Amino acid sequence: MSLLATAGEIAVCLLALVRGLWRRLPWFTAYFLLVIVIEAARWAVLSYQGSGSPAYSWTYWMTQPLLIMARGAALADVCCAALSSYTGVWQLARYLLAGTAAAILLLAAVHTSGSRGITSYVIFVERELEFAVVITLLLLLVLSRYYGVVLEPPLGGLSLGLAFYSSSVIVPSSILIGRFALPWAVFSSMRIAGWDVTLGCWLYALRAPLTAPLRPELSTVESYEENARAVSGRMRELNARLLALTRR
Amino acid sequence: MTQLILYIAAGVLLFGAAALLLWHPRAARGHIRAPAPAEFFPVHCRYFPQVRQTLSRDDAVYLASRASAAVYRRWRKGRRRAGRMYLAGLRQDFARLNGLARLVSVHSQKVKARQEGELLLLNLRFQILYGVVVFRILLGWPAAEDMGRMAAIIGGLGSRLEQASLALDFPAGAITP
Repeated sequence: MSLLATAGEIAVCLLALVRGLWRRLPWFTAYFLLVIVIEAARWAVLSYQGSGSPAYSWTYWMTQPLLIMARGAALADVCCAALSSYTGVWQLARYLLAGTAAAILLLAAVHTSGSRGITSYVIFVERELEFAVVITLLLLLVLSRYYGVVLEPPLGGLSLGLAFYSSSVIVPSSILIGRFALPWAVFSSMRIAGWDVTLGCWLYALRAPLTAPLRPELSTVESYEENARAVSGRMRELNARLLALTRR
Repeated sequence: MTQLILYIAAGVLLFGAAALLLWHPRAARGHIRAPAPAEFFPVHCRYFPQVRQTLSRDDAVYLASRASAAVYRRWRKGRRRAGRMYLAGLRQDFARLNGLARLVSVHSQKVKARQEGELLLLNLRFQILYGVVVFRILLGWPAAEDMGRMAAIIGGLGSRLEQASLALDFPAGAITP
């Protein structure tokens, strides 16, 4: 499974470069490159020191937060690429998305403040931060659906991969730190399997050449105010009438 | 143990929700499909005269005096069903208007959080009110007069809603000609 993951990582990275993904998603492309660099570093330490060595353990767990932060940047990239063409909605959405992510991170910090050692690390980095990623992503999808914005390829597939990976980390991490502690080998296998599926999603998303993003034509601010007022006025009236019926 | 189950369920449900939100029928794929103006017209309100006739007190009085009890009961049941269907139509009309509101926002250079929040609340309020009215009908809300009034109120709004839909100006490409 590990070999499959390495092959998948290289394939995804190459495909992203061939497709010119950096033009639309620079942070996501940087994340793919970082994965390759970190995997190479881990492999080097593993070859010289062995998998049970403190050096490998240190390298593995210290590079993990870097990857999570890079995944956060990749998520921000997806949010921006999905909605930034719609200037008005994006102005509102970015505050909502950033606020939600900050609130979840704060909650995670409070939640894990009392714990110590590796358990604290696993709970915080491996679970709570992934919650922040998947909830922020979910909010982006809800906003896109609400405003009728369809995520263009490859954004949909990349988002699905991000959501799957976060969920596949949350589930085994929760079992690991729960009462029914998982053996490390099983935990590790579940994580690698999740990563393999994620890479599959990303490969599928990048299978076709990227199309140029469409730029929607936007109306003026005055037009929005006038139109929105007219429509909400009608809706309010309709509600008032319906309310009157319920009071009869 | 409870916490463990909650975390696992949350992980699975969050992914499921994301996958569901990402799924689009093949026909709907694309950027934003330019909607046709007709998609925003409240169509059900137009049938007010027919609905009013169906729900009128005159019909009820006439049938009560002429038809057998069984026929009258069947007629009342049918009329109640027609009322429910008309309400469902009204909800569809409201959804069209709501869609129009979102289209206005998505094609704007600047949106106001307050305005968007109000639209969201209006939608929520409508859904709750709709549920209450349907529930009352199911419980045997006095049909003839009340339903007739309801149809009059809803029908009266129809033309104004249509005018609102037509009066809105959109940038080229937002709506298909």
